Amino acid sequence: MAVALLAAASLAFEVLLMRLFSILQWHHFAYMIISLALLGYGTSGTLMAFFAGGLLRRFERAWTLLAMGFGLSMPLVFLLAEQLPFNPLELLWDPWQWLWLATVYLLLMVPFLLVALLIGISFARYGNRIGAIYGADLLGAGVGALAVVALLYWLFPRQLLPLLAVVALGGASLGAWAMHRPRLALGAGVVALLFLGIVQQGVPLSPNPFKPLQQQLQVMGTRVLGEYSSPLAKLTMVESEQVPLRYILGLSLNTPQSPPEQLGLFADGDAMMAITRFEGDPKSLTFLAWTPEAAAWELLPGKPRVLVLGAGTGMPVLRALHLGAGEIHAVEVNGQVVELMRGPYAAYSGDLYQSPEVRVVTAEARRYARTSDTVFDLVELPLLDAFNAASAGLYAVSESYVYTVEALREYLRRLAPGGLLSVTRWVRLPPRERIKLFAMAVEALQQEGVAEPGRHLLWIRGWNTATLLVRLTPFSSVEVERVARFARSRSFDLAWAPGLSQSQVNRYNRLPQPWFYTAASSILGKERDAFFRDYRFHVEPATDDRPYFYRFFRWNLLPEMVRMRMQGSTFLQETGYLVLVITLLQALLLAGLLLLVPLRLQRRFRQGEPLPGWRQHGYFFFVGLGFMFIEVIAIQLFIRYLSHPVYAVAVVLSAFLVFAGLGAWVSLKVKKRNRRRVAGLAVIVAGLLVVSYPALLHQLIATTHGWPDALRILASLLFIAPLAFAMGFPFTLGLSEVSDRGRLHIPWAWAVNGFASVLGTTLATLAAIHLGLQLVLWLAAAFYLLAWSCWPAVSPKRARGG
Amino acid sequence: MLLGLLLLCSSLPARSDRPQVAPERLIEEVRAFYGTLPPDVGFEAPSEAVITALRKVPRPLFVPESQRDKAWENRPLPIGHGQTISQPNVVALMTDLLQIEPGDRVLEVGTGSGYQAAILAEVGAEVYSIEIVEELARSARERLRELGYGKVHLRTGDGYHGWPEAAPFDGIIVTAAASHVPPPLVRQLKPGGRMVIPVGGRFTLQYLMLVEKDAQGTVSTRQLLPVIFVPLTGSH
Repeated sequence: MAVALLAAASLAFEVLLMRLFSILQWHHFAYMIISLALLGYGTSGTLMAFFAGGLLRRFERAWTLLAMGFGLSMPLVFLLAEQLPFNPLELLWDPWQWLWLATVYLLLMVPFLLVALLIGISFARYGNRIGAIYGADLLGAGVGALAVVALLYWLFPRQLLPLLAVVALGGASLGAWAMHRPRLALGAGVVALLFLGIVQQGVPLSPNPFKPLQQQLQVMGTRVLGEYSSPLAKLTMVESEQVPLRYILGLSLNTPQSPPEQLGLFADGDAMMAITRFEGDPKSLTFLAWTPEAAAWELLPGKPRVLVLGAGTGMPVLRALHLGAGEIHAVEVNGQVVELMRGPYAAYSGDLYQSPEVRVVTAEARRYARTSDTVFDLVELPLLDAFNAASAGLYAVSESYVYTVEALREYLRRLAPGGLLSVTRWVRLPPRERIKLFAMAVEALQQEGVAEPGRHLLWIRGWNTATLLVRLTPFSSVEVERVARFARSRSFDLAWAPGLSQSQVNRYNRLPQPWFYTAASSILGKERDAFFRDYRFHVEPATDDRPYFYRFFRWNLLPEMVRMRMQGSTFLQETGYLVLVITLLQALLLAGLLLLVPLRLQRRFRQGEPLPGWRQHGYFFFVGLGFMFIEVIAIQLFIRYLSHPVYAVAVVLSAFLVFAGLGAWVSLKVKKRNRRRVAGLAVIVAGLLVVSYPALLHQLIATTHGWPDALRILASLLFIAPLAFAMGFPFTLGLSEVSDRGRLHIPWAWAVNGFASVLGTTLATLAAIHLGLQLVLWLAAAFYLLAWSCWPAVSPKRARGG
Repeated sequence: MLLGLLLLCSSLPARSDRPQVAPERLIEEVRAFYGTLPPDVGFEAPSEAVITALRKVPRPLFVPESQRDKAWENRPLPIGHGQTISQPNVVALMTDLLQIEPGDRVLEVGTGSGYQAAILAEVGAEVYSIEIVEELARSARERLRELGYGKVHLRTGDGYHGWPEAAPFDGIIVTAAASHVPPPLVRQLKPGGRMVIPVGGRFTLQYLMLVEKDAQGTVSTRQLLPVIFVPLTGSH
């Protein structure tokens, strides 16, 4: 029970750290957290090699102190890390920031190291009850990952942090009691109670002062109206009385009227969604017709039926209502946002989400588009990631299944005859994401059987946003003229339209060159492949197999980035990818230093001790790499099914822990002579399952798409079970095989495996970006086969102790 | 080790021999930056007036004590309250883009530390500056007065509505991009006037947006990249 509680706290801490980093900094650090947890586990193996003897001699005391240390260290290292002047925005300018980043990494590793050390010595002490301890550890960890997600609905992350300390200290107390150490048990219990006292208030958090919410709070007269927690995001509703908020992206400079005041809803203190005050006077909403998104309304029939994918706090819904929609399906992934709009802020928004024309649905955009049986005259994707990049973009190079070629095709199929798909995105310069989106629309149209996609696209560009209109039937010249007139009156440019010539573009918001038009012409022409190859940024269409819409980095940019780093230009801002690479290098360096070097050094002190050979290293290295490749790619695949990264991370981590643990436990019963054969069988089963995973998952999505969240989470757990079960065998079978060969064999196996896991976390994502998810799964299967081919058999030479 | 590092960092002494005029290296870096600008920006070198202003305005006195050692470097710096002081090369270019004649009225939305206002005053503008963070406004007011820029008009409040009593303006600088260009600011721009808005993050610049109002009152915008961008590599 004690072990289960401690393991639960440790996994819950891992998931909670991801949320905390998203709130305090930005979401770029999720992989760093997975890798630092793994490094902590791995380092415990190295420490065991050095100190196991001493720790085991005073087992009860060491166990309790480690458990208490773990409980206390969770809030402590977090608060310490917060004190460091780490600001990721200054990484470009200030070399010290790299040191702070590494320090944060090492600090946050400590709790994982302590808990792993504790479990390690428990194994060593209770060799006869290893199965029970292992089972408690993995079951606890699995439950912990899921429980923290559920708890986030009731408690804020700042409150959960001391609560995890309570859980861990409770575990420490229980454990000490069971080991007949009442004084230690009492001590741990008292400290647990002290922490319980601060759960309500929570620990103080200091978000990065450059986050939009923090900046808004500096503005005179700004106050927080409410804070709301959920696993998806921490929402903060803000009112600014003296300097009213006015957040209307892309508003034309010619707009005749200033927009009304708004409330701001911040997700994780980042991107803001605005609630516009509406008191019934339609004239106050005239401004809504002065953004590029309104262009679609020039071409729609009377009383159109509209689908808004990513309704947020309702700006696109308000526009549709104001411009005359007959029926609006407003889809929003975050149910809490919907509740706020229907509850406390309903009156402020003029009961927008209760209007008879509006049907609000809490669902993920793409899933709704796929499963809805209604057809629409307009399917609109507003600037979704204003919200989603903050809450959903858990990764440096975020996966997005909303912006892929397959997704666009699904949206197009939701259209009534003559219906329009409207996608609005930022204008980022130099151009990249708009161009990628255009290329994806062309691809989607072609896959839908359109012969001349250029006649089916209209592109309206303002100074900071641009809207792409896509239709399965071609646009006529009369329609093009109608939209052109709309654009002229608002000083928007047409970047692409059927029949548009270069002399007609780039007139109002002048760029140095008509980049968008020339890019569109190239993508529609014969030179498309050459264009993709030679364009400075990566603008090839994102697909479900490579769902990296936000990846634009290409290595040929690097020399320019280095040359211009001190000019402050975000020309070369594609740092997400580089952060990933740097995280990888940092993790490798630290993992090497903490895992491999100490063991290498230890040899000097233990002359004559037999050392494992390259086959053993190869075996545990490839098992570690294969495992992490599968786990990381499974997270990415399940984001599509479970609609949100936090769910996917929690469910996948939890399923792999529980079922791989079960596999490992069963594997302990395998007889010595059968180990190699069983490992081979496990490798083959895992390999076969892994390579067919995307296809199987596709089938799962198709069969269960209508199920509620809880049932889909259960289905995911069961779906992962057989694969994870098979993957649980190779590591423990290998460990059993080498355990009696020398004192250093197990620590080395643990360290090499830990090193590979740390490497695998980031490497898997990098590989997926370049090769696609399917190919990376093949790679993972290949790693398992390679591992098996390295099975650490005892050669006669090794057996003699060489 | 960690504690040692923390102590080391906090105990680094502030240099007392800080120069009070811009070192030549900074001026050279600003000149070099202009040398890399694309032709459509319209400047191959900074104007002499801007260079003189950069030399004269003591940037270290516009940043917190802890940042002073870095204040003569060509980099943005945090000044507290989640705000930054812009990079000198960007300050120079924004000032040049306004094409200020002595006596021109310039509105600045977002005073921050007051550095940009001081530079504008040095090149001869009559500066009206608005800040929404009260504490920043207070400290900028004191600082500017102490340094002899008492003629800069400062106001604490909402920059969205501009400064109607002092309008129209020959130039407007909005120091941080909003979601849209406030219509009142467009109205308060004189025919022939220019408005500059940097678009990007607090520590980086994506592009400069230049809003121009011609003699007839027609408004157009230009998006100026601070670097030359050649979209295609290879055989194109």
